[in-house]
Amino acid sequence: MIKTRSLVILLTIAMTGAVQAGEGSPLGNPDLPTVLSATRLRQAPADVPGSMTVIDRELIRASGARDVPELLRLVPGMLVGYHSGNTVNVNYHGTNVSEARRLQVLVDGRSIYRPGFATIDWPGLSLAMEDIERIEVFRGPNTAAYGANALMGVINIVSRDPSGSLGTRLKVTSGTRGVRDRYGSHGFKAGDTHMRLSIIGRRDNGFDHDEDGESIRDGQRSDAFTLSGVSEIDPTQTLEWQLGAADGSRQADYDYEAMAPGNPDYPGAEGSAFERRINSHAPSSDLRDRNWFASARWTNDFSSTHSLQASSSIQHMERLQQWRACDSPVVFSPELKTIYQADPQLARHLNKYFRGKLDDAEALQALFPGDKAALFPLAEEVIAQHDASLDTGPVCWDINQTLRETRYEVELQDTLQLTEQLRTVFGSNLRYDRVRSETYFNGVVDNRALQLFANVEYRPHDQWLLHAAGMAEDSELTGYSFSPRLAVHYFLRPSHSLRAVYSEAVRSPDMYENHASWTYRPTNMNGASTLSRTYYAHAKGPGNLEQEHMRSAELGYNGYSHQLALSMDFRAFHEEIDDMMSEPLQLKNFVPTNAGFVRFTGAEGQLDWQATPTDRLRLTYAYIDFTAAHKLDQRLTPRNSGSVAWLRQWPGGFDSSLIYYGADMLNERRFERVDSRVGKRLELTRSSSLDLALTWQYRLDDEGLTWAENRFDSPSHYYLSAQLSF
Amino acid sequence: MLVKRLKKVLYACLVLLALPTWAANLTVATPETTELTDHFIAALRQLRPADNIEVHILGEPLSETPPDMVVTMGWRAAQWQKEHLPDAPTVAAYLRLEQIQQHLPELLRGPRHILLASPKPSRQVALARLLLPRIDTLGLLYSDASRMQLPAWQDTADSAGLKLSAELVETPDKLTRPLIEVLSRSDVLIAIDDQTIYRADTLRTLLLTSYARDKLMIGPSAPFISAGSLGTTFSSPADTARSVNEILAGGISTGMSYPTYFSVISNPHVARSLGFPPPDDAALSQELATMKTGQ
Repeated sequence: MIKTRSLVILLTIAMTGAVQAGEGSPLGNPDLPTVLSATRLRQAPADVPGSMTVIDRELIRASGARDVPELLRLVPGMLVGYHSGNTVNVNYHGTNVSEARRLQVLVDGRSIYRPGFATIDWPGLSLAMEDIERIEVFRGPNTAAYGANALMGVINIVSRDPSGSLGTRLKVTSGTRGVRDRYGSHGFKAGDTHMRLSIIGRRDNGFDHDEDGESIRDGQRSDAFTLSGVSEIDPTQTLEWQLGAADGSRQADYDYEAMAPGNPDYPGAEGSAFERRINSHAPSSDLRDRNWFASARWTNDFSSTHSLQASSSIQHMERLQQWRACDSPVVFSPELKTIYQADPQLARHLNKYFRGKLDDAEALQALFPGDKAALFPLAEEVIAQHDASLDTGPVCWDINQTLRETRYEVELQDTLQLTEQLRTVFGSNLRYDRVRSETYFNGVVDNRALQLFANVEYRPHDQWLLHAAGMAEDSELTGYSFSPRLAVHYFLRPSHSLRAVYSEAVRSPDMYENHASWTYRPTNMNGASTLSRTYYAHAKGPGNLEQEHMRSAELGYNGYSHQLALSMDFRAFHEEIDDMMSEPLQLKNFVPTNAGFVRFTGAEGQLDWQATPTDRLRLTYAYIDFTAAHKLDQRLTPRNSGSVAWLRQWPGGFDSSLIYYGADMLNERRFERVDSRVGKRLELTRSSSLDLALTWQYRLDDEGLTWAENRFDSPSHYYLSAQLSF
Repeated sequence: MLVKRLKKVLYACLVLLALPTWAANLTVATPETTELTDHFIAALRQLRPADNIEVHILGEPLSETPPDMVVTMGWRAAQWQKEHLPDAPTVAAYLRLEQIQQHLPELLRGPRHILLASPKPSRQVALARLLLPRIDTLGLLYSDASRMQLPAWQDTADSAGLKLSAELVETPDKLTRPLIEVLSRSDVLIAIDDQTIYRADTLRTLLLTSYARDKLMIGPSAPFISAGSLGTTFSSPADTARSVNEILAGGISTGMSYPTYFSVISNPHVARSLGFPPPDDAALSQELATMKTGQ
């Protein structure tokens, strides 16, 4: 029976009600679509066949990070490093710090992995941090679901749904180290389509100086826009589309290593025209990045248990880099070329000689032992050719290191819940890649790849879940491969599971490793006359490299305590990569092989706890033990690394965060930093607000960041941001 | 004369005394037969085996014997009763707040008890707290049609010690902005009885937008659960029949109430995908029924 008070309220409703009574009757069964269907719901964390770290919006905001790589420090085992100042690389567990070839990165399902050079161009990402909904990081091999190159993990960046970001946002960020960022977005609805246009601009000065106190030329700028839309064609069909473009520039020091750099100790060099001119020639090798892409995804939910997705994308990336190089005319000497072709090492000895690192010609001759001695007379000729140029000066020419990559991709994916216990995802992906560069490839290299994938999830019992997945890939350049994965989960309780996962994965050699035809093809030559127009060094990809193979086994636990709001994930892993390509690839030393090997064993974990309605604590830790055959793969991995974060909401619209990041030996250097952020929201009107935030980062160690030359004047770095939303 | 009167009174007293075993003529008026009406009538017949229960489909000729009591199902049947059998004691079941709010004074005239089909705020809030123990702020969307339900929800939130964040939806095509606003300020979306907001063509936006922010929806009624709402309390046909029977047995008094009996239905898949243990509907119903707030 109704209590008096409720009856009074009900009567009040009735007395004052002045609106038309609704027509709907509760007798019939309204025909409602199953919106959150089995095919659309996210996999429960305890069901994931591997380890997943999710960086949500709150964490993105609290981190104050200006780019995605810095955010990835929140992922256990993820190693973020910089080289050449502004080039950022993200690796998982280890391998060569200067490359980042083994992680797949997706933005709303579109891979941004560049197969030409097996890299991720992080600064070229046109997606604004403010438009990211969450980042899901699958830690561990996943080529069974994402295709070759998802060797060590997958980073899946999910942007905010345009229908969820109506209105206008304007943000400016400004701080030390030349930080000047701009962001503007406007979300609107046109017919049945929700759209959002975002424009971003990022600037910073990079590192301040190298280990010798010399300033580094590594400032960068990027400007980009993204237009994204989602249209509901009818209750079962959705079309999502995006297009975007980015334009950026990055400073880079003169990027040509001369054969004879004008060393004054070289006999006869001091005061010569050659020495004078070559030392005064130091242009920059700045580069310009331009990218654009368009993508569309059509989803049709035939029923609550069957959904089909078709997606397609095209993307184009180009790096424009041209500068003028000067060197001794011997670099175009047929004799030097003969020596290089016989053994590139001998050409490097000659370089040592010209640089004054060898005392005299006898010392050089000692480096031409055995049957190599026959080549020494050629070396003497080269030296004579160089000596002759000391008075005439160097030869100068234009280097065009521009690189263009284009990709077309179509994918079909079918998700089918066959019974309550059995769910499958299968599909196919067709990709065409083309890379074009005069310097690296002498024109064009292209590749077609077809993938077929299937994933089966079977729950025979409440406490058991079995996964089997496989991906077959056939690529024109690298041939056929198959990557399987098997996983079994045992549920201690419905949201607490123990898992055992075994997976195999592959990475295809990139076009550069396997098909490079890298040499300088000079244009606009002047200065000293040369004996030919063919540069002596010419790096050629072997063309027969095998794929790298990874085998991984993990034992893990994932749990979520509903009552405590505590989520946990722990895993112990054993990973081995065979047939690994580890050699440094330089023009004068280009010998990629499949001789490498690396093994990682260890354990990692993450805890995320909403301790009180206003306090969130987060902890990550990775312990990694490794064995690596190649010395370049032995540097990056820290034995201990992790992060601790505390996020708090304060009364009065304030929020704060304090995050500690630490790694004992990140590329042989200690790394410890504390990032803090204080934010304040001012509600201006009911629908407009101003968000002010101060982010302050403080380095606790005094090392260079991943490399000795990456140094800042001060351990302290801060920036202020203001965002107006209406 | 007096003897005659006394006889009448005595006769009336006897009738009253015999009431529980007295076979009454009970008419159930419904605009149509649906699965729900069939279940309801079958359940009522089981609860009142002695009664002569006649089902009257609106528009069909009415039987000649005037009924002793009437049970109407839905708004049209209630209107029909008001017109054709205004003096018959009536339980008007399956009425929604939205439908009756304008007509309540006239509906509450005469021997009529209104049994609501709208979700009871205290039960919905108690269920939300059982399913999501850490909630602090309830989010609620209302339109002009449901504005008048707000005080009841506010009252419920207050007595549960929770905050309430409510936003007005002017028209269904302007749903997104208030929805995002509410989701950003609250921990759960409480769907109220409002067919301007909660309907087939808005459901996608409501559920997908909430889900993308890891927020879930509670209510408004059972059919929304398979669509993707986390859970709701509702009165099944059997629950409603039991509640109607209780009112009939106690003698119909003018008034309005929510059904005494109710159940819980939830969506285990939705719960699971956000890492919650799948709810046990029977245990939740039991727990709510024994809680003071559930009643």
